[in-house]
Amino acid sequence: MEKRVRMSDSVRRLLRTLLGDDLQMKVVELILRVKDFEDLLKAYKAIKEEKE
Amino acid sequence: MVIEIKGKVLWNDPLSDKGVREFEVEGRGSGIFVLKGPNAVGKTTFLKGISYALGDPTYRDELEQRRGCRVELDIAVGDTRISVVRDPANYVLEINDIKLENEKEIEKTLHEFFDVMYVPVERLIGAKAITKIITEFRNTCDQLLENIELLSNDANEKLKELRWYKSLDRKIKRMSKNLKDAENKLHELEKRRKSNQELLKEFREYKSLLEILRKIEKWSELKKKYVELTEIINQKMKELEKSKDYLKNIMKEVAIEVSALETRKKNYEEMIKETEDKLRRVNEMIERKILELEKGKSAEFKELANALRKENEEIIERFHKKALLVLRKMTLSGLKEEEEVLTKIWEACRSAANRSIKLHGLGLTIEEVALKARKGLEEVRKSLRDEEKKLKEWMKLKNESKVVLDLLRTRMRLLNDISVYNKELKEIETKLRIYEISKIQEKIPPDVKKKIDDLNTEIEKLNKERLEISREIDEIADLAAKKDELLSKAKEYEKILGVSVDVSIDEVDAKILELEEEIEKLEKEIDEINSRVTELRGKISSLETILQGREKYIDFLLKDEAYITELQKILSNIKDSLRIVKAEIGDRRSEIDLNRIKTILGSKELNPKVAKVLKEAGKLIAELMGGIWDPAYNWLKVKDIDFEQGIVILEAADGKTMKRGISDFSRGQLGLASILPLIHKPTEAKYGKIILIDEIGDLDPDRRREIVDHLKKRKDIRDLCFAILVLPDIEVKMIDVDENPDAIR
Repeated sequence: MEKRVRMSDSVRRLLRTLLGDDLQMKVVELILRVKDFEDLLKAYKAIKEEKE
Repeated sequence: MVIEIKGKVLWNDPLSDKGVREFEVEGRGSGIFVLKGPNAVGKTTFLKGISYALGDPTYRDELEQRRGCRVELDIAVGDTRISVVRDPANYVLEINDIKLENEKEIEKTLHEFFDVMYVPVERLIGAKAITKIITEFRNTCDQLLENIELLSNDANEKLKELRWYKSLDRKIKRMSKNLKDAENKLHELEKRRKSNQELLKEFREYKSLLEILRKIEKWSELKKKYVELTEIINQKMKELEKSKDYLKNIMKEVAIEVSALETRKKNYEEMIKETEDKLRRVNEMIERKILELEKGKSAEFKELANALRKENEEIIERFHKKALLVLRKMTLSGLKEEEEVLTKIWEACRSAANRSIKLHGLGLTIEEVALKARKGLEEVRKSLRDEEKKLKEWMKLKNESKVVLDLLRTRMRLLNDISVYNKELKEIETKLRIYEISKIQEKIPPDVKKKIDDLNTEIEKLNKERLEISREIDEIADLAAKKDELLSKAKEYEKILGVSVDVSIDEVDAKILELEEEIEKLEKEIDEINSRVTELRGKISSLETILQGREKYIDFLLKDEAYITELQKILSNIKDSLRIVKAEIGDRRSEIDLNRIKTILGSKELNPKVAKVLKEAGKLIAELMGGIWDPAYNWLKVKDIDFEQGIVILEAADGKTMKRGISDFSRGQLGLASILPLIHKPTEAKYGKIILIDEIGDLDPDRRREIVDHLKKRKDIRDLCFAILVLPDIEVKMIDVDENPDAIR
């Protein structure tokens, strides 16, 4: 998964509206930037641990 | 007035190596700066960071919660130096060494000082942003779906691997438990076997002890038996001696007779030897004679030699007789008389004085007579010589034939003698042999021989028995000395083994047999469990081999399993929402324009989520547009955008609303129109406005210059503190436009 996508604030806002959930939104942000699932998992863990 | 700006922004990025990224830049000049730098380096974050640090709440959530941002900003406006540090936990403001740490106080101060406005990139594109944003949103959804598909597959693979690992782990655990049970059982059985083996050993020792004690009890009996046996053996020995003596006598008689025969045999053997010597000598003489005869001049000698070689006695005898006959017929005497007469005549004639006188009656002269006599004498003498030579040869032939005949006859005789002696000798030998066999058998009664044999066997057997008894007696003698010790030992065993004192060896044997059978059974069981243990160990080892090298990865997966599952669920939920968007708005292949948005919104079955998104899009775009600069009404606020009708609803300062078609706005016009109200917006802030415009590169260079001109006008009336305009470039730098007007290109 080489392609990393930059998301504008507007798209971010629309996606937030669509998903209706902060955590999902955070995951979406990561999905567009990570290389692979392990990368995503690492970032997700960081988010969760930060939250805790 | 010289403006100096120095800023640094740091934010969390779990994907970067350190987990944190930063952007730092500084600039000095009249106040209109162009911030240049590569894409995604942090320029937008920096602009948002300035607005956040200076108290603008718009991006606070994003910067604090989502990105954990920290901003360090130093601004020098003439002699005033303002320093701000802000992150989710701290907010510190220093103005010329006066330090404030109360958030509300800081915000209030900063609002008095500055009017901060961040202009996002979308704002520049105005109403065209409608389709741009929706398209971007749809494309992002598409991209997200693609990414989610890959990530979900990856997550599924991991969860599948985890399930596989868990099932394998369960299997290994189950097998390990079975192995442990089997090993415990094995241990228990081995313990039982060991204890039974020890018991068996003790029973065997007790048995041998009992046997010894029983033997000791039988000791006197054995000694008595030994004496009895000795007596019987002695008696038997006597009988044997007697039989042997009887046999010896018989043998003596036989020996005398045999000796006589042997003497005779010896005599004959010597005679044969002597005769054979003689014969050998005769044979040698014959050979020599043959060679001698063969050398003779006359044919008779050769014939004689030949006859001798052939041992033809008849021919030899004929030669002898012939020689005798020839010799008898020889007339040597007549020739001798004739010689004598002729000699006398010759001598008489020689002695005559006149040898010419002719003799009457003869008609010859004396000389002629003398001559004739002499001639006759010579003839006679020659005949005599010939006759004597012949005589000598026949004499020799006679003698030789006689010798040869004698030799042959001697040889015949000797051969005959040898034959006779051999015959005699053979007879004697036959006699001797026959005598030895028949006479002895004849003379030794068969019962005597059998008796001797039987006695020998019996004595041997008895001796053996006695030897064994003797050994046993000796052995018991040593043991008997320790009888008390052995008895006390036996008692100990009885106590340990729990057997009664009067237990029989048979009973002990039965117990030993029982123990042996039990041990055998246990060993069979141990063997079975051992092979089960080996099998389980092999299986566990092969399963562990499968897992080998993956432990670290599996551990990592196990540790994160909850997160993976959770994330997988989130991905699935996101995917569901994105699929709805795709179903309603379409994918990247389909074009989005206002008509399409109108159609989507007009659909009766429109998914409420999508409807909500589109409605939000309208609000968003209205907000982004904010307002437009209108020469007639000055600043008009964009209230809403009605996609279904394709209109923008505007509101003037006096509250009057008006409608404009979305398509009426060109990109450039809209861009300018949406930014100019911000630039010209009046402010009461002490140092004026701070305008931060993102990605001005979206506008053409003329429009950019127009914006810079408007900013300069505001700067001239001290309405503007500073402005930062973002442009892409390969190097990060902040350039003052006054000093470098080309920087805006």
